[in-house]
Amino acid sequence: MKKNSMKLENTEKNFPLGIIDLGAHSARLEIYQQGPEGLSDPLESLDVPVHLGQDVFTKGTISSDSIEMITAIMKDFRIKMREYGIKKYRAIATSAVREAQNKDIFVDRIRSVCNIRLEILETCKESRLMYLALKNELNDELNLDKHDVFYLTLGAGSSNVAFSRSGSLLEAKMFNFGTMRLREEAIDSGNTTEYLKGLIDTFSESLERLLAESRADKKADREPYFVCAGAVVRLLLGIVNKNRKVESDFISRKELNELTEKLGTSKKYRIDASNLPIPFLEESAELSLQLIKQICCDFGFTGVYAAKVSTRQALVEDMIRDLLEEEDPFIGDMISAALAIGARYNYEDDHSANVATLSMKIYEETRFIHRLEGRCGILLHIAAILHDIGRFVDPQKHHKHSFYLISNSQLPGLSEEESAIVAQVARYHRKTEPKASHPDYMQLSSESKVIVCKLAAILRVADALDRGHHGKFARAKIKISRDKLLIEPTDKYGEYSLERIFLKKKQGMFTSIFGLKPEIN
Amino acid sequence: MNGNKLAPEFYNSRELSWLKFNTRVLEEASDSDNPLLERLKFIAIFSSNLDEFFMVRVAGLRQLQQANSTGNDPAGYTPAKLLKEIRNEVASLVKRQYRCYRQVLRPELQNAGVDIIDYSQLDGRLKHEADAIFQKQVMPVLTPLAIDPSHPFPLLRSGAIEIAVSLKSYHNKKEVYSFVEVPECLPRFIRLADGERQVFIPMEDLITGNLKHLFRGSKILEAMPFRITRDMDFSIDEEGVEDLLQYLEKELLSRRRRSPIRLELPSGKSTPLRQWLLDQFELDAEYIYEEKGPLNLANFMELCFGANRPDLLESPWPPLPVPEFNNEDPVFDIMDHHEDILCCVPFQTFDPLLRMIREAAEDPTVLAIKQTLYRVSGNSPIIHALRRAAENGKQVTVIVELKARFDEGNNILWSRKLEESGAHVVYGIPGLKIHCKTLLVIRNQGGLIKRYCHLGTGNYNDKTAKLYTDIGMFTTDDGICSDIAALFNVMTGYSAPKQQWEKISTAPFDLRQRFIDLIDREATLSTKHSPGRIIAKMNSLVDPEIIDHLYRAAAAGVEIDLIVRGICCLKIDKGHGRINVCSIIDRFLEHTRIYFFNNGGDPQYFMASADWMPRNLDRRIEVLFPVENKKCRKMLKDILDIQLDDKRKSRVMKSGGDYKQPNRRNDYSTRSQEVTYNYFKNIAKEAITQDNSQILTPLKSPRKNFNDED
Repeated sequence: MKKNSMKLENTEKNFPLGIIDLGAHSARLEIYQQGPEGLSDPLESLDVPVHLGQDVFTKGTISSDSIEMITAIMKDFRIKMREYGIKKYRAIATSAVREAQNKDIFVDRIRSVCNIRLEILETCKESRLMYLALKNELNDELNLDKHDVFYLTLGAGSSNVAFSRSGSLLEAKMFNFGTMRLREEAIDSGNTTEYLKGLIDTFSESLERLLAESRADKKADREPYFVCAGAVVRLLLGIVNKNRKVESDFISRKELNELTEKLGTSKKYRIDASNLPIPFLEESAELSLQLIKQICCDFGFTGVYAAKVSTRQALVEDMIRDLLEEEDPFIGDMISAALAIGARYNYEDDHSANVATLSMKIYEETRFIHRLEGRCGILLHIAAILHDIGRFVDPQKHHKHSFYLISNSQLPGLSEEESAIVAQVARYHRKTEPKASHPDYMQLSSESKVIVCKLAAILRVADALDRGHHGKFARAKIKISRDKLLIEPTDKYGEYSLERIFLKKKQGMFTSIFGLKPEIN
Repeated sequence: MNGNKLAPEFYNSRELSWLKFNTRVLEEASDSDNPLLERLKFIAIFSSNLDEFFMVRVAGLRQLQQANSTGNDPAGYTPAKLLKEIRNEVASLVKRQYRCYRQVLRPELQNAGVDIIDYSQLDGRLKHEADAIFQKQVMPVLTPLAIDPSHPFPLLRSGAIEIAVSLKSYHNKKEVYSFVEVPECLPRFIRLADGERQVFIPMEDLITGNLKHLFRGSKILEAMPFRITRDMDFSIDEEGVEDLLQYLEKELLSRRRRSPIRLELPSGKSTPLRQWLLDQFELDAEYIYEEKGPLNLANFMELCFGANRPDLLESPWPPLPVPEFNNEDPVFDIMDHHEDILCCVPFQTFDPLLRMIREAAEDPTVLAIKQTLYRVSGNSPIIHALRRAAENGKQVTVIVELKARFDEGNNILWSRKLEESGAHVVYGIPGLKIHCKTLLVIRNQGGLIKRYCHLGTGNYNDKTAKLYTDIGMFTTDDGICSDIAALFNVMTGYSAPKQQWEKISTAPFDLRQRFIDLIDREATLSTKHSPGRIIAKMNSLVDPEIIDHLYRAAAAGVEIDLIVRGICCLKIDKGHGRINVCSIIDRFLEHTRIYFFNNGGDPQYFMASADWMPRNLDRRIEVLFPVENKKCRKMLKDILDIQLDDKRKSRVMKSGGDYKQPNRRNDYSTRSQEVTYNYFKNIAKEAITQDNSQILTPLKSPRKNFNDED
């Protein structure tokens, strides 16, 4: 795994840092201070309207006018960062740039002319950021640890749905629909109601299932929440709040109906778009309102919480954690989401937990030999959880089915490359070792190939040790002695012949990669 | 936004109110309690004010009249009606001014040994001396312009004194005309020493008396000085002007060509030369002013300083130290250790601000300096310091406002110099004059960013800081610094304006509404037992919407005191007996803008760069900022109290819009500027006494503490 290039010296605890966020309709720069009291509020927030969304969502490319304009803006941002002596910054671009056909040229232009490294945020990472930001924002108010929540974040070009149970993420997905597209596409489709139904269909099945589980759980006895975030939602909330005595973030179904009837009809229900640079926002607001209402109706929500959320805040906290080498708070959610995927494919949870524990023990014990850093451990953990889900399709060649299922699931928080590594590690947990004739494997970077081999080798040993699916080695001690990896069971099971046979069968890759022979002591 | 909501009888005419202000200036010239040369200064200020009034306001009205505009101003005047009123009022005021000069000041100055006389009154040695000066210093720079069919009528400089001459050539007996301009590079008055007595002769008089040397070969028939004032109003379409700077340079050149709006001549009988001159300009009678005395009395300012007679001037009030800054510590350390600090010029020294910029230029922890500059003097130490900072590798951003009237030539020169040194110079925003006075310094101390801000009511100008009363606030308040940083981003085009400012309000964004809300809140909170209270001090009060809200607040019981130096379109008769208006004219030009709102017993103090005028609220970038520090608020309260208590230099508006002259017998001890000076003197003294009372702690050899770990 690539280490963060901006690693901190131990002495550097205080520093200013910048976050650039290039979205569909605005370019923003925020400057923060990391100091003895942690992170400050933004020292500066710059916000310049751009027309990227209009370009990309209607024509597919970033127009030359926009390229010129954004280059000029980024130059200004560069000057601004120099004013604060900023050396550490992160510049991200979201859906509009992600989908542009000329994104590579664009990113290169920004780098060569403005000396800003613009990073196109992958959907899974964006989805992770949004979830973290929402959780951060709502935790105190909604007591998320005790509730099940359905999140919908309506972006300009892409949107995100997520479901969390008692504070743990179960599912998170990005969709290619957004407020800026809604209008165009809904009108193109000719029938808005049908169009919105189609949208909801993309997530309705899993949502229905999760809600059914929540509602069936008598212990919980709490109705799941529906939380919605995004500029349009805040705009709608503003109108609702203007018309009631006490402001609140909750909009009831009744109020949603009222809003639909009165939107645009009287001055009080007028959309004040003057502050927002988004064109055709009024129509988008009406369609978004319709979508929210439909979701409430279809899934039995009593109303919606309109959340204020800034991915920039999550991004900056992320960056500081990276710099200070602190643990990612999303790891727990990544694991819970992996477990939820496992459950969907009826995985054998005990076995997968045993294999995961053993894998991590071996991983930790062999750290100075495998010398893998960063997020490799969490990739192994997820691969161990999901290695057998292919059995859902067919126990025969199940490693290949696991590969296929993982490749086609959205693993929140993982980049495309990381997801591919997880899928490949599961694929090589048995049978053939990686070969030059395997096209999926060959597509990986050489760095990732090495990671796949090392992690798969560990996973094979762990899987062999739980061959009987009895958890015999749950508390085993693992240590290295000369050229051996010694596995010392600590509990009462005295019979390990089956495990020995399978260990012998599956240890080849481990021995050849690490030069260690695993042995049950 | 600022449409008139009330009938014309609710407003004073802006122009006529301005003339009342200039009347108050003239009254100071007549005040026998003022030292003689100070009185002469007020004669000069009256004239230079009037010149600007003609160039801008009268010119604008005439443009409206020529466009056949019949629209009314808020007070109900059409341009034609207003021009007529102005003509009558100005004619009578100027008459008064010359009478005061001729009948009072000149004789009294003569008695005091400062004699302003005509060339014709010179004799003997003095005449000889004056002629020698003419030959050596004056003649070489004179350029007579002949006017005949082969030479077109020349372009005459606005405001300059010209001498019209009619001549007859000895050679062909033909009568010709010529103009001789009194060059700007020469002093207006020639000073001749006659023992203790000083004699001053106007330059045009010296030239007229020596014309024969200029026109050898011709007989001088007649000679007469005159002066024209031109229309200088900028009604430029700023949209689509690609390069504002280039545009202004052109605009400067074209000034000469603008049409005359006033012709001043010495009064006298009609002569052929006078008739010829009037024929040349084809001006209506209402634009011609005949003066009984020398032209352009604004030049008396030069004489006041040139006379070198401190006994005839006010005793000097040397700027006092600001206690917090009265030490050798770096300004940023001082700001770190104090909350907000106020600095009131010219009572207190302008130095801390200069120090702040100079130290910022050299301080290695300073990353960036941002400043708005408006009407800065050419050789300003601020510009030197900013250039130095840029040369030292700091990020220097200067927002230069080039549209300050009559001062552009000066601005363009130094802004070019700044750019050359590497500063990022922004030349304003088309359509919005940048009028706020803000300075922001960003430092990085071991990875920690700290910001330092200075906000003021007056321009960053070391020259006016000696003449204008202004208050600046030094602060490190996070909310204010953050707002000002964001405002700079708006002014440099880096960002759209904030939706919600933390502490400040800004024009043209939320300032108008903020003022209205503050006034309305006072009305809402006002009760019979505890009436609301507003004290507002500014230069001019014109905005009809604000005036409307003030009337309403007064109707709701709010007690309102307005200290307005210049124009005031509010009528006290409409204020339900609860609005008082006063105006202070004294040795310093009152320039601070302070706004106080009682807020139901939790008072709020603000300062601003803005007056209550439509141009400040709608067409300029302005800042209103709160003063929250207890000590600073106390200081503002004291200053306002002192001003409201003034019975010597403050004139109170009467019903009908006229101002009551202060009674000369009134106690001088309430003269607010003097009381304010003494107030700061006491503050400075107290600080020194406090310093002296501190126990001194000499350095001793370190003693081992047994609890200390090795």
